[in-house]
Amino acid sequence: MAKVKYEYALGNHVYQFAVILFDGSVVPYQVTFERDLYVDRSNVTLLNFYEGDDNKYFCLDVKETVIRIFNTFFGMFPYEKVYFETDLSHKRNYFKLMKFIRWAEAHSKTYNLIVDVVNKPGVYYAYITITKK
Amino acid sequence: MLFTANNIFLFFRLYSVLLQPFLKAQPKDLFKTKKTVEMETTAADMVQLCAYLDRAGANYTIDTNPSEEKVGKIKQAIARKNQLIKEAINSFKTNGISVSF
Repeated sequence: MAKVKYEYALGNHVYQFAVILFDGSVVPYQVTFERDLYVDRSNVTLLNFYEGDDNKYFCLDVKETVIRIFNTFFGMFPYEKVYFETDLSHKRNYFKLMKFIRWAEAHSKTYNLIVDVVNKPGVYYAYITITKK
Repeated sequence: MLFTANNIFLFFRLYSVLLQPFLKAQPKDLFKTKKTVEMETTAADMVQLCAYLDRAGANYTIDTNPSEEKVGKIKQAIARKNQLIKEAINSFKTNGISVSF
Protein backbone atom coordinates (compact mmCIF):
# COMPACT_ATOMS: atom_id res chain seq x y z
CA MET A 1 0.00 0.00 0.00
CA ALA A 2 1.48 3.34 -1.06
CA LYS A 3 1.87 6.11 1.51
CA VAL A 4 0.15 9.36 0.67
CA LYS A 5 1.57 12.80 1.39
CA TYR A 6 -1.04 15.53 1.80
CA GLU A 7 -0.49 19.24 1.27
CA TYR A 8 -2.80 22.22 1.24
CA ALA A 9 -1.15 24.72 -1.09
CA LEU A 10 -2.66 27.85 -2.66
CA GLY A 11 -6.19 26.67 -2.01
CA ASN A 12 -5.56 23.29 -3.62
CA HIS A 13 -5.66 19.92 -1.91
CA VAL A 14 -2.61 18.07 -3.20
CA TYR A 15 -2.05 14.36 -2.58
CA GLN A 16 1.25 12.84 -3.68
CA PHE A 17 2.22 9.19 -3.68
CA ALA A 18 4.65 6.88 -5.41
CA VAL A 19 4.15 3.35 -6.65
CA ILE A 20 6.76 0.63 -7.15
CA LEU A 21 6.11 -1.39 -10.29
CA PHE A 22 6.98 -5.04 -10.85
CA ASP A 23 10.20 -4.14 -12.67
CA GLY A 24 11.37 -2.10 -9.68
CA SER A 25 10.86 1.35 -11.18
CA VAL A 26 9.23 4.00 -9.01
CA VAL A 27 6.49 6.17 -10.51
CA PRO A 28 5.33 9.26 -8.61
CA TYR A 29 1.72 10.39 -8.94
CA GLN A 30 -0.23 13.43 -7.85
CA VAL A 31 -3.95 13.92 -7.29
CA THR A 32 -5.04 17.55 -7.09
CA PHE A 33 -8.40 18.94 -6.02
CA GLU A 34 -8.55 22.51 -7.25
CA ARG A 35 -11.37 24.67 -5.97
CA ASP A 36 -13.16 26.88 -8.49
CA LEU A 37 -13.29 30.56 -7.59
CA TYR A 38 -16.81 31.38 -8.73
CA VAL A 39 -18.68 28.07 -8.89
CA ASP A 40 -19.21 25.77 -5.93
CA ARG A 41 -17.17 22.80 -7.19
CA SER A 42 -13.63 21.37 -7.39
CA ASN A 43 -11.62 20.18 -10.35
CA VAL A 44 -9.71 16.92 -9.94
CA THR A 45 -6.62 15.75 -11.85
CA LEU A 46 -4.56 12.59 -11.64
CA LEU A 47 -1.05 13.25 -12.87
CA ASN A 48 1.80 10.87 -13.58
CA PHE A 49 5.05 12.84 -13.30
CA TYR A 50 7.08 10.64 -15.60
CA GLU A 51 4.64 10.12 -18.42
CA GLY A 52 2.89 13.46 -18.30
CA ASP A 53 -0.59 13.15 -19.70
CA ASP A 54 0.01 9.65 -21.06
CA ASN A 55 -0.72 7.92 -17.81
CA LYS A 56 -0.59 4.20 -17.39
CA TYR A 57 -3.25 3.07 -14.98
CA PHE A 58 -2.26 -0.58 -14.99
CA CYS A 59 -1.00 -0.73 -11.45
CA LEU A 60 -3.50 -1.92 -8.84
CA ASP A 61 -1.81 0.20 -6.17
CA VAL A 62 -2.70 3.35 -8.12
CA LYS A 63 -6.36 2.42 -8.26
CA GLU A 64 -6.44 1.56 -4.57
CA THR A 65 -4.68 4.74 -3.44
CA VAL A 66 -6.74 7.02 -5.69
CA ILE A 67 -9.95 5.56 -4.26
CA ARG A 68 -8.53 6.01 -0.75
CA ILE A 69 -7.72 9.65 -1.56
CA PHE A 70 -11.27 10.20 -2.84
CA ASN A 71 -12.65 8.68 0.36
CA THR A 72 -10.52 10.96 2.55
CA PHE A 73 -11.42 14.04 0.49
CA PHE A 74 -15.14 13.31 0.64
CA GLY A 75 -14.71 12.57 4.34
CA MET A 76 -13.50 16.14 4.82
CA PHE A 77 -15.98 17.71 2.35
CA PRO A 78 -19.04 15.46 2.03
CA TYR A 79 -21.12 17.99 0.08
CA GLU A 80 -18.42 18.87 -2.45
CA LYS A 81 -19.02 18.52 -6.18
CA VAL A 82 -15.91 17.17 -7.91
CA TYR A 83 -15.58 17.32 -11.70
CA PHE A 84 -13.18 16.86 -14.58
CA GLU A 85 -13.40 17.11 -18.34
CA THR A 86 -11.66 15.07 -21.03
CA ASP A 87 -11.11 15.42 -24.74
CA LEU A 88 -12.42 12.17 -26.18
CA SER A 89 -11.15 12.84 -29.70
CA HIS A 90 -7.97 10.97 -28.73
CA LYS A 91 -8.52 7.29 -28.26
CA ARG A 92 -6.30 7.07 -25.19
CA ASN A 93 -8.57 9.50 -23.32
CA TYR A 94 -11.56 7.50 -24.48
CA PHE A 95 -10.15 4.31 -23.00
CA LYS A 96 -9.15 6.17 -19.84
CA LEU A 97 -12.74 7.24 -19.36
CA MET A 98 -13.93 3.66 -19.91
CA LYS A 99 -11.48 2.51 -17.27
CA PHE A 100 -12.57 5.23 -14.87
CA ILE A 101 -16.23 4.18 -15.26
CA ARG A 102 -15.19 0.63 -14.49
CA TRP A 103 -13.49 1.90 -11.32
CA ALA A 104 -16.53 3.91 -10.34
CA GLU A 105 -18.93 1.05 -11.02
CA ALA A 106 -17.75 -0.73 -7.89
CA HIS A 107 -18.45 2.36 -5.74
CA SER A 108 -21.89 3.21 -7.12
CA LYS A 109 -23.46 2.78 -3.66
CA THR A 110 -21.44 5.61 -2.12
CA TYR A 111 -20.88 7.96 -5.07
CA ASN A 112 -23.04 9.50 -7.76
CA LEU A 113 -21.48 9.66 -11.21
CA ILE A 114 -22.96 11.99 -13.84
CA VAL A 115 -21.44 11.97 -17.33
CA ASP A 116 -22.24 14.72 -19.81
CA VAL A 117 -21.11 13.69 -23.28
CA VAL A 118 -20.73 16.14 -26.17
CA ASN A 119 -21.23 13.98 -29.25
CA LYS A 120 -20.94 15.96 -32.46
CA PRO A 121 -19.01 14.61 -35.48
CA GLY A 122 -15.41 15.65 -34.86
CA VAL A 123 -16.15 17.17 -31.42
CA TYR A 124 -16.10 14.60 -28.65
CA TYR A 125 -15.88 15.74 -25.04
CA ALA A 126 -16.96 14.34 -21.71
CA TYR A 127 -17.70 16.25 -18.52
CA ILE A 128 -17.84 14.06 -15.43
CA THR A 129 -19.13 15.10 -12.00
CA ILE A 130 -18.79 13.05 -8.84
CA THR A 131 -20.80 13.63 -5.66
CA LYS A 132 -21.31 11.67 -2.50
CA LYS A 133 -24.73 10.10 -1.90
CA MET B 1 22.10 -31.53 -58.82
CA LEU B 2 21.28 -29.17 -55.99
CA PHE B 3 24.64 -27.57 -55.34
CA THR B 4 25.41 -26.35 -58.83
CA ALA B 5 27.16 -23.05 -59.36
CA ASN B 6 24.02 -21.54 -60.80
CA ASN B 7 21.87 -22.61 -57.81
CA ILE B 8 24.38 -21.31 -55.27
CA PHE B 9 24.55 -18.01 -57.13
CA LEU B 10 20.73 -17.74 -57.12
CA PHE B 11 20.59 -18.63 -53.41
CA PHE B 12 23.02 -15.86 -52.42
CA ARG B 13 21.31 -13.40 -54.69
CA LEU B 14 17.88 -14.15 -53.16
CA TYR B 15 19.13 -13.98 -49.59
CA SER B 16 21.13 -10.82 -50.18
CA VAL B 17 17.88 -9.14 -51.26
CA LEU B 18 15.99 -10.42 -48.21
CA LEU B 19 18.75 -9.51 -45.77
CA GLN B 20 19.59 -6.20 -47.41
CA PRO B 21 17.93 -3.97 -44.79
CA PHE B 22 19.67 -5.87 -41.97
CA LEU B 23 23.08 -5.90 -43.63
CA LYS B 24 22.98 -2.23 -44.54
CA ALA B 25 21.35 -1.01 -41.34
CA GLN B 26 23.46 0.05 -38.40
CA PRO B 27 22.73 -1.44 -34.97
CA LYS B 28 21.13 1.85 -33.88
CA ASP B 29 18.49 1.64 -36.62
CA LEU B 30 17.56 -1.94 -35.83
CA PHE B 31 16.50 -1.06 -32.29
CA LYS B 32 14.58 2.07 -33.15
CA THR B 33 11.28 2.28 -31.30
CA LYS B 34 8.18 2.79 -33.32
CA LYS B 35 6.39 6.10 -33.02
CA THR B 36 3.07 5.94 -31.23
CA VAL B 37 0.18 6.82 -33.49
CA GLU B 38 -2.62 8.90 -32.06
CA MET B 39 -5.82 7.08 -32.86
CA GLU B 40 -8.98 9.09 -33.20
CA THR B 41 -12.36 8.10 -31.88
CA THR B 42 -15.23 7.55 -34.24
CA ALA B 43 -19.01 7.81 -33.94
CA ALA B 44 -19.17 4.03 -33.46
CA ASP B 45 -16.89 4.34 -30.43
CA MET B 46 -19.24 6.90 -28.91
CA VAL B 47 -22.17 4.51 -29.38
CA GLN B 48 -20.12 1.86 -27.60
CA LEU B 49 -19.39 4.31 -24.76
CA CYS B 50 -23.09 5.07 -24.32
CA ALA B 51 -23.86 1.34 -24.23
CA TYR B 52 -21.17 0.91 -21.60
CA LEU B 53 -22.58 3.77 -19.52
CA ASP B 54 -26.02 2.15 -19.76
CA ARG B 55 -24.61 -1.13 -18.53
CA ALA B 56 -22.72 0.58 -15.69
CA GLY B 57 -25.91 2.30 -14.54
CA ALA B 58 -24.38 5.80 -14.64
CA ASN B 59 -26.48 8.92 -15.15
CA TYR B 60 -25.51 10.45 -18.45
CA THR B 61 -26.69 13.00 -20.98
CA ILE B 62 -25.71 13.30 -24.63
CA ASP B 63 -25.47 16.68 -26.30
CA THR B 64 -25.49 16.14 -30.05
CA ASN B 65 -25.80 19.81 -30.96
CA PRO B 66 -23.67 21.78 -28.46
CA SER B 67 -23.41 25.56 -28.61
CA GLU B 68 -20.12 27.14 -29.60
CA GLU B 69 -19.87 28.75 -26.16
CA LYS B 70 -20.03 25.37 -24.45
CA VAL B 71 -17.40 23.79 -26.72
CA GLY B 72 -15.18 26.87 -26.33
CA LYS B 73 -15.43 26.71 -22.54
CA ILE B 74 -14.53 23.02 -22.45
CA LYS B 75 -11.61 23.56 -24.88
CA GLN B 76 -10.34 26.42 -22.74
CA ALA B 77 -10.58 24.34 -19.57
CA ILE B 78 -8.68 21.43 -21.17
CA ALA B 79 -5.96 23.77 -22.50
CA ARG B 80 -5.56 25.31 -19.04
CA LYS B 81 -5.36 21.86 -17.47
CA ASN B 82 -2.65 20.78 -19.92
CA GLN B 83 -0.68 23.94 -19.11
CA LEU B 84 -0.95 23.21 -15.37
CA ILE B 85 0.21 19.64 -15.97
CA LYS B 86 3.26 20.93 -17.87
CA GLU B 87 4.07 23.34 -15.03
CA ALA B 88 3.70 20.57 -12.45
CA ILE B 89 6.03 18.29 -14.43
CA ASN B 90 8.60 21.09 -14.79
CA SER B 91 8.47 21.80 -11.06
CA PHE B 92 8.89 18.07 -10.41
CA LYS B 93 11.95 17.98 -12.68
CA THR B 94 13.57 20.88 -10.82
CA ASN B 95 12.45 20.28 -7.22
CA GLY B 96 11.20 16.70 -7.12
CA ILE B 97 8.83 15.32 -4.50
CA SER B 98 9.59 13.73 -1.19
CA VAL B 99 7.36 10.71 -0.79
CA SER B 100 8.35 8.07 1.73
CA PHE B 101 7.46 4.40 1.31
